[in-house]
Amino acid sequence: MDSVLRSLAVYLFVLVVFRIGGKRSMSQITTFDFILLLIIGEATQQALLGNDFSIINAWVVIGTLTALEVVFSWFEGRFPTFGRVVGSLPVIVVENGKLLKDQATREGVTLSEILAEGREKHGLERLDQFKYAILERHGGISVVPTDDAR
Amino acid sequence: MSRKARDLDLDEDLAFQKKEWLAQRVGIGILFALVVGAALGLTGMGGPLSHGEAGQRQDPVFVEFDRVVRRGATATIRLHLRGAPGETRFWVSAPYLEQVRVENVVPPPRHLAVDEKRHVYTIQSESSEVTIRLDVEHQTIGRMDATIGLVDGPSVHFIQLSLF
Repeated sequence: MDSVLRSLAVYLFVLVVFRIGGKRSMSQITTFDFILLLIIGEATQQALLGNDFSIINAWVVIGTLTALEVVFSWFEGRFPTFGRVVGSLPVIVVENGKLLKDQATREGVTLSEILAEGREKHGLERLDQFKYAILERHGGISVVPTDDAR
Repeated sequence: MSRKARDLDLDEDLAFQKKEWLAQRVGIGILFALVVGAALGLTGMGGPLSHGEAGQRQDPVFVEFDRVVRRGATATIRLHLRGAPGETRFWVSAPYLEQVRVENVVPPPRHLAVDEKRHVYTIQSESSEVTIRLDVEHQTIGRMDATIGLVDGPSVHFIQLSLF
C-alpha cells in the first residue's frame, strides 16, 4: 500500500514538473540534462523505495509505475481532452516563411533552432523556404518545406 | 482544432494552448514557491520557519524542535534541563513516542522506565544544567503533540507537523 502511494505521488509529481517545463525541456538531451536526469532518478529512488529494499517492493514500484503509464495512455486515447492536458498539443511556430513570434517565444523555441531543423532534415537555406514549422507534442520540430524548396 | 485551411491536418488549438501556457506559468510560480518555502523550512528539517522552541531559555525545561518534520526522516529534539546536580530524570509523553522511533539519546540514559502515560529517562550528570539530544524518526503523518518535562517538575508542550 505504502509503495503504491509513493509511486503514484512520484509519478504525478514528475508528470506535472515535466509539463510545467514545457515541450522543449527534454526534447534535446544535452550532457548536462543527462546528468540532471541521473540526479533526479537518484533523488526519486529513495522516495519510491523508502527503507524497504526488498525485491517484492521493487516489483510493486515497477508494477505500479508501469500500470500508471498504461492507464494514462489508455485515458489519453479514450478521452482527447485528458490527452491534451497530460500530453499537450502541437503548435505552429513558422507559417509561410514567417516566424510566429508569440508562439515561438512562449514555447521557448528560437529561430536558430528552427533553421537548424530545416537545414538538417531538408537542406533548407532560408526561412522563406519553410511552409510550416511545427513544435510537436514531444518537443521535436517538424518542418514542411514550400513546394519550391522540396 | 484542425488546420485544414492551411493544407495541414494538425490538432492545433491556440485557445487551449494559451490556457496551457498560463497553467505553465502558474506551475512555475508554485514550483519556485515550493523551493523558497523549503529553504525557509516550510517543508521541514531545518530552516528559520521550522525551528520551534518550547519554554524559555532560563526555565528548568527548554526544548528546541522542528515544527515541521517528515515521516521516515530523522529529526533532532534538544532538551535543555536545569535540575539538581547528579541525576536528572525527565519524561516524554507516551502517545508521542508511539508515533516516533527513538534512534538515539545523547547522553545515553542510565535507566528507562515506561508506563502508559510517559517514558521516564534517567541521565547521570555532574552539572545542574544538562543538554540532551533526542534523535527521532517520525512514523506517522499529521499533527503530533508532545509533552516533555522533569519528574516532579515543570513540563512543556509542543506540536509538530509530520509531512509525507
